[in-house]
Amino acid sequence: MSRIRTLTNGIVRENPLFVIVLGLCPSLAVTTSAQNALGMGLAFTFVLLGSNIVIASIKNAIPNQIRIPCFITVIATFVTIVDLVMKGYFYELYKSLGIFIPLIVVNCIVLARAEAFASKKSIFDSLLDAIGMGIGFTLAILIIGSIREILGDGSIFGFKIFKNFSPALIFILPPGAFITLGFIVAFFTKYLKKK
Amino acid sequence: MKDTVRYITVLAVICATAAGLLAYVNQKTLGPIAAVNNLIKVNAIREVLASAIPDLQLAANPDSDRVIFHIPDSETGKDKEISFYRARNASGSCAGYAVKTASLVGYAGAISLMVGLSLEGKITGTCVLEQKETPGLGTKIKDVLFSGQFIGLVRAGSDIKIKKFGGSIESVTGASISSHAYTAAVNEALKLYEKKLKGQQ
Repeated sequence: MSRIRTLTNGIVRENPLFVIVLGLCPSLAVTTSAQNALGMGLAFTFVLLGSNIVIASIKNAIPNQIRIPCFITVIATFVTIVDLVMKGYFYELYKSLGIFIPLIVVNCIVLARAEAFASKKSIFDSLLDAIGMGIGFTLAILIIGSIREILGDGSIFGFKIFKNFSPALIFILPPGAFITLGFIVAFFTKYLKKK
Repeated sequence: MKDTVRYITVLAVICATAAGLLAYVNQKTLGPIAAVNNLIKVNAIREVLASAIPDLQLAANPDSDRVIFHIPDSETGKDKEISFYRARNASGSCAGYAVKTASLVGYAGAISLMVGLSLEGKITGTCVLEQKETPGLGTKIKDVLFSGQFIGLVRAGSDIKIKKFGGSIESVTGASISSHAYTAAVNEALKLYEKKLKGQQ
């Protein structure tokens, strides 16, 4: 597999959310607005970058039998760093993402990339994979977040875009997340997914 | 046996490295996090008192100038902390209080808020500190349209009530759980003020 393919793999062909359909819990919960989605996507990308690089570089030292606890320790470390830094420097964002930052630890995409990719490939490939997957995930939840914010609140990134608009509140609520995701996955499956 | 030792060693090394790294980050972010928490508190106190005390003076750390009470929550009976931050005017005398109060029975857990009180016990402003209510529904308690309704009210013998229970406060939703919790938290602050602090300056 060429390097470019490794990089772009996560963006469309193996988009973690729309094609692999992993990590739905935080994705659906925080996508009530575009800003939350972007914050979550960046936090996730940072964690994935860190964990993929570290795991790829220590993969030979980790015995196969205890690889999962080792991966989780590495991932949890990066998540805690994000949590602390966000609390200190981006408090507004921290407040709206709340419990879902610590929950990146158990986000199955991060663990899945560690297990399926970083523990087998070189450091550089793992870096590319993390960038691709990170972009893919961020774009995916940004799309969901934007759609939900536009339909549910009539605004985007907090800016009102419609006047005299009566928003469909359901899109801000959990059912709206499932409805939005359902339509996007259907679209992906019909037009973009390679057989 | 040999394998077991190897597993333990590898895990121990990884965990120790992680712990060291986290200790460093924690050390670095301790200051900013404390500063952010303090700033939020100061801003909230200013927000609820600014209109009543234009020459409001606050200690750099408001925690150093407050009275703390522990009371059982009226709905759940659990212990609850209510802090009265003293608001001083330019001449240094106490001109009112900002009360950090809470309700433990919001729609999704506790709602904590700051209530500004003048010395005679009149509400000068309210604002939400922390809440986990339903986005778009219960979160409307943060809007001035709701929280501004309390300005100027006094607790004249009976509790402030939402319209559903015959009062004057317009709820943010039909179910009125968030609104009721908010009102209850305000009432507790007022009651405690009347009982413990009023007329003692």
